[in-house]
Amino acid sequence: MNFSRSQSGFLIPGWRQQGAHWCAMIALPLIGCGVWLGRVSSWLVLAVMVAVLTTVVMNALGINELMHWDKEVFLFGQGVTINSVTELQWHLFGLLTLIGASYAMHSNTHVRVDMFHQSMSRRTQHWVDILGHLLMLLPFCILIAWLSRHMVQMSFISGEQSNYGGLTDRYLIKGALPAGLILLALGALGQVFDRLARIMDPARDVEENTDAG
Amino acid sequence: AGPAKLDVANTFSTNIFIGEGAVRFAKELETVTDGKVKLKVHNPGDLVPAFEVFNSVSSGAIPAGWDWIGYWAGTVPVTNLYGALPFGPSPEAFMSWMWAGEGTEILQSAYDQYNVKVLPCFISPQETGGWYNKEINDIEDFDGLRIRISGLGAKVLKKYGASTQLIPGGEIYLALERGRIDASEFSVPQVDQLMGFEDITKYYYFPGWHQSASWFSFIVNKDVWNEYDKQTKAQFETACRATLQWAMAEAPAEQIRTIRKLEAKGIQVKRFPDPVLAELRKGWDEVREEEMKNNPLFKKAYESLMEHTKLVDEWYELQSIPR
Amino acid sequence: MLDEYGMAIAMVVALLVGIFSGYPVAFLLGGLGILFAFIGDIPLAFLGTVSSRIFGGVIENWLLIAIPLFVFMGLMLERSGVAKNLLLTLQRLFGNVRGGLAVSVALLGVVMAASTGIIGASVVMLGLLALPVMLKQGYKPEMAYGVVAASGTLGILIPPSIMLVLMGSIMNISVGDLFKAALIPGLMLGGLYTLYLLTVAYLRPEWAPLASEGSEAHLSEDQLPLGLALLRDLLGPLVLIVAVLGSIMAGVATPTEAAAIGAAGSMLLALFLKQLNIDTLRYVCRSTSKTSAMILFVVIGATCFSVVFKRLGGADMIEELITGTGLGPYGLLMLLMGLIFLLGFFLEWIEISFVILPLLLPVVSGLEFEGLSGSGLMVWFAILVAINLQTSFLTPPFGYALFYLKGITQGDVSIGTIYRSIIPFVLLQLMGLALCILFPSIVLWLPGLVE
Ligand code: NA
Ligand code: NA
Repeated sequence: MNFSRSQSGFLIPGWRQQGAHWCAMIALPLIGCGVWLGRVSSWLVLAVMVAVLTTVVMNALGINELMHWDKEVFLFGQGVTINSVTELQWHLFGLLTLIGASYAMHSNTHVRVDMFHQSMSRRTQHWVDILGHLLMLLPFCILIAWLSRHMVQMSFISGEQSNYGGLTDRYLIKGALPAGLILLALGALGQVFDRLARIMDPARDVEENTDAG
Repeated sequence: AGPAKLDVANTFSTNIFIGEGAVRFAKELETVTDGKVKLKVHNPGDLVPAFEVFNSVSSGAIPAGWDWIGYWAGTVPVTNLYGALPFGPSPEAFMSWMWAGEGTEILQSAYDQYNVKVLPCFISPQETGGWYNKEINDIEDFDGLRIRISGLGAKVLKKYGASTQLIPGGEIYLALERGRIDASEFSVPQVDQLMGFEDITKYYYFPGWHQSASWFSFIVNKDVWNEYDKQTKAQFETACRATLQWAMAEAPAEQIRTIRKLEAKGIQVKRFPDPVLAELRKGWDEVREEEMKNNPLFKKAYESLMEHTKLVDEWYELQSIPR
Repeated sequence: MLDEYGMAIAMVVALLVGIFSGYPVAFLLGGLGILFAFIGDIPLAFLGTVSSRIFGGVIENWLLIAIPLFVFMGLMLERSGVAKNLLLTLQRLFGNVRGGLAVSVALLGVVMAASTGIIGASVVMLGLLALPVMLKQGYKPEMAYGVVAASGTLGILIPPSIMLVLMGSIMNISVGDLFKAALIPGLMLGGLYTLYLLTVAYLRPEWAPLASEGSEAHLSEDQLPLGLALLRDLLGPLVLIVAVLGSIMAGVATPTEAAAIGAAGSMLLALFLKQLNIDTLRYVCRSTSKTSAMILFVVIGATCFSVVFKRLGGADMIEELITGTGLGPYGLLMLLMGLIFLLGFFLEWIEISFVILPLLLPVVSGLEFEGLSGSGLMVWFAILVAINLQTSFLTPPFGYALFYLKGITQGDVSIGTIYRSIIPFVLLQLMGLALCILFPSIVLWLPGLVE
């Protein structure tokens, strides 16, 4: 068998180095996409804050309608009322949460009970994640995303909107749920390949820390 | 021959009158089917959150639900008419239209595309005008009033400058106590009294012009419904009518008993002055015209309902005896 | 019992085993729900309830908006150094009282408790503010984590509390009475914490070093007279707290909206102190997004787990357990308390309030306790349940408060340390609970329900 020396001096068979390389290549865009979206969407917290403050000010001044127009406008219907802004709060909050979930996964923020996890070898820790993602997270995301389709379709077909004179096009935020879960599933797949690469070529574990900032 | 046990997601807690209807319906059904069909009534959130019941029954995630019909107005706009119709008919006339007129038929036609069968089994009496911390002496008093109210009534108040808002159930109490809002409508006195509003508001206003009667129903996924044979379906309807009869018999006297208790705790019971009501009625005429223009089914239902109501009212007027 | 409820029991066992593998708790909860739906032969369509529960219970539930906003506030105060100065000055205020810093954290917890009812938000905010300072001063980690978790959860008990509002509507009792009834027990628990902290600090000085004994002596650098230092470091945060609480009390904002006022206020404060720049803001936004998604995904996973658990008979099992005993009133009360305590190991308080509480009500209203009846009895029972639920956030292995604390500290501390840190506080909670059971007037005096 043909052995070669990996960059930092571990002696591993060539096929493992090749495999690790390919796994890492697959992982890169999957993880990168989740991290990028997470970084961008994190600014939404400021938008949530502004939306809430707008509601507070509008309420204090007893203003019900901020703007009104005659044409139907996407999401806002025919105007911006205090209830549009109130509903905008949780629309933004929903996006922040759903996209934030994969961002948190890539930066390893999700809580683990690490009493035994800490004393495992890196290899075992990777296997826990790989098996967990394959058996727990991926089925959850894919199945729930799939089963959400009725909710989204129904909302779209009926033209569901606020019953308080708030936002229209409710299907958008309903559709964000399956979209967010698919994003999480793709990210989990990226994590699986990333861990595989680290198992095959332990050097990658030492060199790089891909945890997103 | 259809499931022997159905899970029913309630949109209200079973310990309040409007949610208790589901329990009553379950009992009646068990009696008429001799125990062959049992309903297990779940409190809101147990299976799905209250606002998700219609959607979940439609998809078949849960077989059945118990709802206030007006909850689905975002999806099925005509349900506004059944849930909360401003200046609508009395409960008796409305009931007559539902079971002897076109009422149930029209509602069912709106639900057909969502694969949901509806049985309107419960009517709550006219709701109250709401809990107010500001006195309403004049229509101008609505200008700038911050009130928690939904649906068509909200659209009417908006015309008079009120800021109608959406406050989550858990926060109404605090919002009202602290003055974040000036008023809130909720339900009938029997249900309202559990919210503790009498401790934090000054006035309890009547009449509930925004909601002359409101319907609650048993909804069931059509695939499940069609599994039952003809006889069982008829038994569901019988249980439904029995529940409706119970609700209509039980409610009116109980509201006044409750109001007496609330008055003893210091709340002032008031009526909106007649000129204010007359003005609100004008506002409603405008809102209704817009609604009928935008929504043909609403127009059809409204015209049918009013035609029927006219006959009923005329009969009672002709027969009225001075008391 | 084992054949009928075998699946429900297996689910709990699987959760216990799985959680110690170290796989993220949120994903495990969701995955086990799906797995057991298959094993238990539940129709696939039923899992559609999970989508509805996530949408209706989390995304559309805008009470939860307070979570990212309070997390933002905590991070901003921490990042801008405001938090550190505040605590150090508070510590100075306590002079050479050993354990003074821990006590000020507990006090801060009680004050913050008044502004929010959302557990995750207050624990995370308090953790971000206080932990770095306590640890830097050389506090024993067990003491630091315990006080943060315990005082952070006090918020759900001390009014205004969303939990009490919900319990009021479920149990048919006046929310006003509940708010009044919860105040003394809540303050009493805060008092018990303080007493404990001072005692431990006295007996074990090395666990709670004075600032001057810490690894870095912060205070020696500070030459400013105490009065001026107080003014300098306390004024900003004080204005902020007054703004948050005041906006609720003045009726300008709901508790959720007050969180946004706090978040915006913390930004203004940082700006005023010349600590706000684009890097800080970017860091705070990113951390906020990750931290609040972490908290909310535990809720999302749990909602999947619990709906399947109930479908497999979990709730019936509990009901059978309660109604099947022939115990007297106090015996039954103990059983109910024990049961809620255990359920708090793995169910959310919302689940317990909505699903379990209605099962208990008919049982409780039929019980006879000396000197208690009618609404007094129900208010008393509600507060006992509330204290119990607050405790359940703290109990290992599934204490949500502990998870959130672990979430913000990342790799720096093991969950074992956090588990150990909380034990004394759980005991204090139980002591508080016992006092309220033995002396119902602690609960009933303020609402005027003592007979
Ligand atoms: Na609170
Ligand atoms: Na717990």
